[in-house]
Amino acid sequence: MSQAAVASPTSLVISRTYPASVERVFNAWTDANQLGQWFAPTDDYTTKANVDLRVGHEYRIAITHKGGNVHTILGTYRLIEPPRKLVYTWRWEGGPASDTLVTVDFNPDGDATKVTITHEKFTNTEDRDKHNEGWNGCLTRLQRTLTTSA
Amino acid sequence: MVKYSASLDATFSALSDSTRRTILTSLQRGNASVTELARPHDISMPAILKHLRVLEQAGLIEQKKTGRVRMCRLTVAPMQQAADWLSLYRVFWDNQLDNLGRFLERTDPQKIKRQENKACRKPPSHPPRRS
Repeated sequence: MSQAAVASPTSLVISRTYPASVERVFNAWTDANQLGQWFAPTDDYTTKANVDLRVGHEYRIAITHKGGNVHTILGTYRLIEPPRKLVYTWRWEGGPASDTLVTVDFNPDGDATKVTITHEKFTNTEDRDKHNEGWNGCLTRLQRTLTTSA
Repeated sequence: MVKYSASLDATFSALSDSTRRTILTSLQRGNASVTELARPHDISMPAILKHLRVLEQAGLIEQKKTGRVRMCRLTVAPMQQAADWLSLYRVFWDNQLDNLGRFLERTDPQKIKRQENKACRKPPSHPPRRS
């Protein structure tokens, strides 16, 4: 077992810096049209996003493989602070009812923007017994696609 | 699959407490008795025992009584599942962030403007070269 698994066991934090303004990066993340142009695992997928960018309202991102399989991510916006911060729930359609939580921070760094994603564990264990199949399969299929097309 | 998901919930829930994470880190160095595990923590023995019970129920540790000493041992499988879950998302996000980078470059207004300017401009005439 890796040490890292113990050091940060419940959340995933990942950062990237882009030579673009915070506004541009925030828009890429929240505009349905723009999301559809980049939010896909590989070129073998097409993405259709629906976004209702209001707290308590929903987004839905359908990622369709050229073979026809569709993976849909959906959730609710919890916090919207343009262009600096976005918090929303996340789950795979057909997966378990419990949500994970995604926080995206957009921080200006000179002319560039540092994006930090924190993807946190299942916050809701009440629905544990209602879990359907699909969750694990969805990620596994996705991983398989990523590793075979890499 | 349902079982897998429920056990992931239990793992993450057990890991959501810093005392329990410290206990697990101690156990990474080797098996330890309950007394040894309690030593670095400024909390009561019943509280430690409660934490150990949560960890045991999540399948993260095993407890075994040898004479009067209760020994604890780390069990790897649930932790591995949790790590696998996180690594799947790491791959996923890494990939999405690469895509975002390409998208931002493709749609960079300054770059597009520069390219338009370039397209409009006549090719530069080279200054006469002196020999």
